[in-house]
Amino acid sequence: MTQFTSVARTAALAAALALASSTVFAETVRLGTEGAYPPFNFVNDSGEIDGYEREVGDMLCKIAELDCTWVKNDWDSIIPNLVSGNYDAIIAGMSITDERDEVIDFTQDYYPPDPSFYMALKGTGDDAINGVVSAQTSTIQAGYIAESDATLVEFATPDETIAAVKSGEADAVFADEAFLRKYVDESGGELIFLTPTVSLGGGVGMGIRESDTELTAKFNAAIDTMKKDGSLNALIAKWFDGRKDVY
Amino acid sequence: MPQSPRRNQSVTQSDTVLALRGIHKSYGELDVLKGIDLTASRGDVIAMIGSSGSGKSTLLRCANLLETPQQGDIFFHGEQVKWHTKRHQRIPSDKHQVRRMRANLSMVFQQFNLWAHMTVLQNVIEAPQTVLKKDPDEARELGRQLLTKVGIGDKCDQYPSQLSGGQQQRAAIARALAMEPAAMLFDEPTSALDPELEAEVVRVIQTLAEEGRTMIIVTHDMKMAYDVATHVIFLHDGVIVEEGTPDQVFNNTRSARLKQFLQSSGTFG
Amino acid sequence: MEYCADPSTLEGLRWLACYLTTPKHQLFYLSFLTVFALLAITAPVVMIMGFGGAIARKSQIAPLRWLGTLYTSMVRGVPDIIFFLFVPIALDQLVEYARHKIKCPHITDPVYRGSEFIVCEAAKMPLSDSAAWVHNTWSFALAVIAFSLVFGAFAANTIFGALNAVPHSQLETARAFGLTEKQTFWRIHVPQMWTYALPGLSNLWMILIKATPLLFLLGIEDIVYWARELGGSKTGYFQYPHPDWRLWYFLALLVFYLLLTWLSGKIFNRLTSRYSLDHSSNPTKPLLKPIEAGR
Repeated sequence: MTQFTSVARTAALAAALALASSTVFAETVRLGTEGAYPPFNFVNDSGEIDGYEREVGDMLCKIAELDCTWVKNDWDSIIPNLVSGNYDAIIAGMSITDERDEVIDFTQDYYPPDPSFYMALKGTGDDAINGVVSAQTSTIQAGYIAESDATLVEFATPDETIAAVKSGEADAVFADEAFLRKYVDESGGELIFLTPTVSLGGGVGMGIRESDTELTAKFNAAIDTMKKDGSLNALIAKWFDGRKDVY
Repeated sequence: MPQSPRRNQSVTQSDTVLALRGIHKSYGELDVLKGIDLTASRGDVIAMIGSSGSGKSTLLRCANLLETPQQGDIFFHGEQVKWHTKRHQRIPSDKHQVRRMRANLSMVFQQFNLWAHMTVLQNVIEAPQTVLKKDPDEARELGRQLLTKVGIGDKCDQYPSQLSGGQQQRAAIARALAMEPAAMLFDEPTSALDPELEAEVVRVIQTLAEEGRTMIIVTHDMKMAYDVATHVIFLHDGVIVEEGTPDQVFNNTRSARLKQFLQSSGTFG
Repeated sequence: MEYCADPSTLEGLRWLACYLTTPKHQLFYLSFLTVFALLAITAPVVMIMGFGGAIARKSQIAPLRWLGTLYTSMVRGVPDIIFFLFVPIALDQLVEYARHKIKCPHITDPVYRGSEFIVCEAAKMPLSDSAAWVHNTWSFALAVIAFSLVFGAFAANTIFGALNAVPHSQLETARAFGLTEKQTFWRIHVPQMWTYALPGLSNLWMILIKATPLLFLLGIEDIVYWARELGGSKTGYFQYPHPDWRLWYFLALLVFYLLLTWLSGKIFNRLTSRYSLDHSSNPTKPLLKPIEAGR
């Protein structure tokens, strides 16, 4: 009899859960990312979206009780396609800037402001920052180089900006330190960081349509939770070579 | 010149296959036909001669309505072609009537116009099958017979481009015969042929004439007209200047125009 | 699975074998099917559109003729790429707009708000909770429509020209034998048209093959997408790190496209000789050169 009751109870619970989930998770939130910017986001060898933002995004959705799916989108059309409703949030290593804030809304940052670095072939002098510098299109780094004395060469993908330095097309590449770090570390001394660094942007946040204030609030609350319970720090430490106690 | 052979003289009015009355045709300002009367009775072989631009080909094309005359009437077996006017142009009003007429007035063209994508036999059986709804086997059987009759029975499965001009024209004649038409219309059937190939086509036409088939032949070939025709019509500037038996037209020429024409064409005179 | 268990310990050919069979590479190989699917679906649709467009342009009915002419000249006058970019977006928004009006009539807010295009959840095409494959199929379908519209217009031009190239005498002869306009069209005009259309259609097919990488431009994960994705340099975040190998991946695509166009060329050569109206190259060729029939 006890046996039966427990089975019945389990079934009832399962039914209740299913009902709950079908109401709570009714709305699917589509998360748009680039999938080409390790360690923030990239497509791993299994063909799945992976990286820091994958884990952060999944956890945020869990906390906010949202049913989330991932969508890949090229960087240069990532904001227009959010606006036209192809997905509901951008989570793609996008720095919070005033310019972007005019078009879309941002959540609070889930990755702190990070200095941008110059990376070049070994033996390159620091004066290369005034030479030909590559950067990804529509990034704050590209915006900064365009304003500086350097000559900007833009590429659609992060990978191409690095290929340009290796092939000698550009004297240096200008990007987030977190992105460049691995290339320098694994180059066996072929690639180096130049001395100058620049602080740009207000940290990395999620981009959300301006009309979608409810979703922004949900994610802001979830990010708060992750900051408080230390899970965000743990993920940062995991993906960014042991950076500790950021938040 | 010897008297041309005469056949099938016993023609009565009820045997009229095709009658054209008062045909006028113009292209813009250019009057090509200025009131032509023509009657073809069963067994008639009518040769139409005249210089280029005299309107003889146009008249033939009017006969099966490839051209529409602005004035005049056409009777086929006594049945009058019906007309109506659309955007100031007179056109035949009864499509079925037109098709019925055309199916009964098979045409042989100067350039043969065999359908290039079909074999010779397919060319011959195409219209009998699609227009006359003939049984395919029957049509094929008749087609082979006719091709054998015109002397190219061995070319059934060849394509037009594999045949000489003379062979193509004979195939075109077989195609016209396959319709078992009330009359055949020949539009300069030998003009596109080299002289040595011309003879084989003329022979076939001659055979048909001897069988008593009704034919209207537009030609430059005065010898053929003389040998084959029962009646010769000389057209000049859109009018019939002279007509009669071959003997009358060629040997007892009355009009100066025809004399001049025959002289310039070099065959007679 | 054991064979490739720990990529970091693998070397040489074994590493390469494991690398080339990762799930990500399998997606790359599958994407070739996307290209074939595009060709297989687009080609017949293009032929139908081309035929329809050409017939419309030759139509006796004036509005139909204008429509045909407008269609073909519009596509001819605009760079293809504009169409490839415009048609999917325009169609997508048009469909969603229509669904919005039907499914959410109670929402009175305008759909276009400043720079945003907002339709209700139920009007999303596909619905946002649809599986990824539904989204992929939808964008693929939009791409197929864009391709069909553009290449259909080209085909219409080719077929229109080919219909006009058939000698008038061939058709007149059919009429002279009592064939109806319809019979003349289908039994004489169309069969002969192929001879004149085939060179143009063959060319069009080649252009279509070579235009398939435009899928990439439409955000579809085709072979170009995966070649670029897989070829890019991979750091230690990946199981199989490697430098920039894009050259090799694009070389593979180059070979693929060369093979495909080469094979197509062979097939079209066969078709061309089969539909040729000049059979005089046949061994049974007569000694006398036939006179071209009324051309």
